[in-house]
Amino acid sequence: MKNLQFNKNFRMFFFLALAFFLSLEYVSAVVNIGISPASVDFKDVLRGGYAERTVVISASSIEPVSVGVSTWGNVSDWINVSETSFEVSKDKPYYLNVFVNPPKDIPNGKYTSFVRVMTSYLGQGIEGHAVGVVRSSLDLAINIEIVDTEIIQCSASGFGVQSVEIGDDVLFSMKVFNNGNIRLNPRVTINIWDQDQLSIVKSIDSVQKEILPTREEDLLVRVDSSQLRVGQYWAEISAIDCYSSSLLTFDILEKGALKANGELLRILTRATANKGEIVPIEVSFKNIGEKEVSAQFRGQISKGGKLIQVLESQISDVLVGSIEKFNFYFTPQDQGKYIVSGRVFYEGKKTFEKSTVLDVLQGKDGFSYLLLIIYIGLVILIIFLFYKIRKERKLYFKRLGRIK
Amino acid sequence: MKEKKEKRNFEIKRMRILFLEIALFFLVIVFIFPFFINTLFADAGGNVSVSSGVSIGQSNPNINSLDIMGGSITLVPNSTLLVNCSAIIEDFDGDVDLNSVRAEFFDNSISYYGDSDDNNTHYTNNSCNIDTDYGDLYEAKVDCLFYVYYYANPGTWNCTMYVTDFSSYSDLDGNLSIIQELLAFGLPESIDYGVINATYVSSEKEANVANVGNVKVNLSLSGYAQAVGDGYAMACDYGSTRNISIQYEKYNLTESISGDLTLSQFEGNYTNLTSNVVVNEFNLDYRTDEEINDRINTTYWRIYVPTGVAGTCNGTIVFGAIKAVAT
Repeated sequence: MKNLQFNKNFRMFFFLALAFFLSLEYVSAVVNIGISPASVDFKDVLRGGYAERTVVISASSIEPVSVGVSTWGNVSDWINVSETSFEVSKDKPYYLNVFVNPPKDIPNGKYTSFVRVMTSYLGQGIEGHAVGVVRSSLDLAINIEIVDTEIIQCSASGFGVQSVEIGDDVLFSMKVFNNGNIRLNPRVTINIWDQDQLSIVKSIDSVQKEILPTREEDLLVRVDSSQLRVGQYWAEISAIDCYSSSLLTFDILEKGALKANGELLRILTRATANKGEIVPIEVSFKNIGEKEVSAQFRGQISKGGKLIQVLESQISDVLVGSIEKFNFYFTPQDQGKYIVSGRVFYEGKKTFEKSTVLDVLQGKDGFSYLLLIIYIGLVILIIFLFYKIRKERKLYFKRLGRIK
Repeated sequence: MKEKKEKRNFEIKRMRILFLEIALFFLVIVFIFPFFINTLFADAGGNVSVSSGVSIGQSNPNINSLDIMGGSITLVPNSTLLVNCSAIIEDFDGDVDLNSVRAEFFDNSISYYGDSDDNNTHYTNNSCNIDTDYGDLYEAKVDCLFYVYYYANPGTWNCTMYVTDFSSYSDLDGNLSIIQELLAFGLPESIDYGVINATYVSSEKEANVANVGNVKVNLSLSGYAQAVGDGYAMACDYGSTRNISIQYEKYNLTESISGDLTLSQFEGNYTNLTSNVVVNEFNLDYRTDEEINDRINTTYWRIYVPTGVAGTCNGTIVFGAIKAVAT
């Protein structure tokens, strides 16, 4: 009887355990795919215009999962995707481009359609059963707002320039993102200044390649350097349509010359100090070029536009990759905001100017009052001593007269 | 005798005057000297350069170039994503002076630096990796890693890093990144109605739908037997018609109806599956419970088997997730 009960319990435990393991297997077999973002809004799209966006399709599985992409909805024929079938895994998300091309005769308004991202079948049929096999899909809502107003808008970033050998073209680079709704040919101007930034030695005004709405493009502007002699130059590059500009520096080098390059890392001082206190100032310069340089910091301390102190370090040799520190002391005589600024001069070149602010407070107020009280005490004591000396002298001379 | 005493008093008087005169002299010197000192220092502090070569003392570490996955983070459905909050730390006392770096990664709209950890809103790494081999002697690269769950709130997140050095100096700095919305859900592989006799409605079957993303989802449903839009729910091996029409497969997204049902009861309580996609309000929110997924909704399914079909019947049910728009 006991044995029978044991067998019954054992069987029950066995089936429960089996069910548990089967359910575990079931859970682990399921693959989840995801799409980011969960919806895409195309705002201010021009009739007959163009817009694009990138969405990311990810999966929880290490093994690649086959994915198919289609579109559905009222305006699905406006929507295109960069790829309609591909594989995706946990380590390899897929970047899918979604393009929108609305027709020219569509009325203004808001429209929605969907991009459907679908997996292959998750399960399979069972012999003799009625089975609904599940397919998982993600419906990415594409919300499109059609307008008839042209918008010119862009942003420029990543301005850069490289030093070149004499005779080679100077290459200026930048990224321009067209966030308007019409095609854009960005206008780029470059003013090249001499080392002291006193006069413009060359100016370039160019119209760049076409950028479609919602796209970012890398632009490269090639400038002939035949008029430029060996030395350091400054260039102000502007993307006029994007209201964006940047100041850069570059060198025209001798053929085969090693490039001298340095960076003024920072001017360090205390944020606040008291009047009359000695304040240390530390300037760090790093040699980021290809050869050792002789460097000197030249700067100034000013207050309200008035020069207070000139800072000029000794010339130091700085090895490639190393940092040189120039140290100064300053004793502010008045309270207020002092600006410490300057550049490092090296190998006939100069760094970008850097500055820092020192806020000088009145400070030591209690001590000043005490000093005043002491001074008043001393003055009283001096007057008293004068009086006493006069009196004693009077008495002394009186007695002296009497003795005589 | 009297004359001697008077002479001595006279000498004392003279000494007193001398003493008073000396005292007065010192007092005058003390009084004037500070002005003299001030004048001297004012000159030194004025338009005069001061020679270099004296150390300012210990430097603060500086957190530079703080980056969080390039500013945009795409989570992985039903899993974690390793998010790296990295920075270049500069210490002019040398990178060996760096002691420790910790960082917190949090939802910038509802959490803050110093808040407690929560998979939806806040993560902490108390010992970030410091790579002193990076760059020169004054630079180190720091990587603060966070395993971020799929249900972390979408929106702007902040990674704030705190670095201390052995000179007891520190720096605190942060940067922002966007956690993108993730639309994802988990489903069963199939719905097995079992063996059903013709003209009968199957027993109710459950299909759990889990939100494994970080946005609220609605559900789109459609079905087909062999090809999308064929108008059938299932295709069978035998029988005169061999197909079950799409309207005979039905679902209920809100309540379970237990027991055996007649066709009319079935039609009154369940919604028809359709060949074209129908979006249903499901409002399945994303997970907030750290222990279990609390965002699993059950859907209820039945099928009616008409006459003219027999054998094994298979069809496809397409479950679609759509971001539920907040109302």
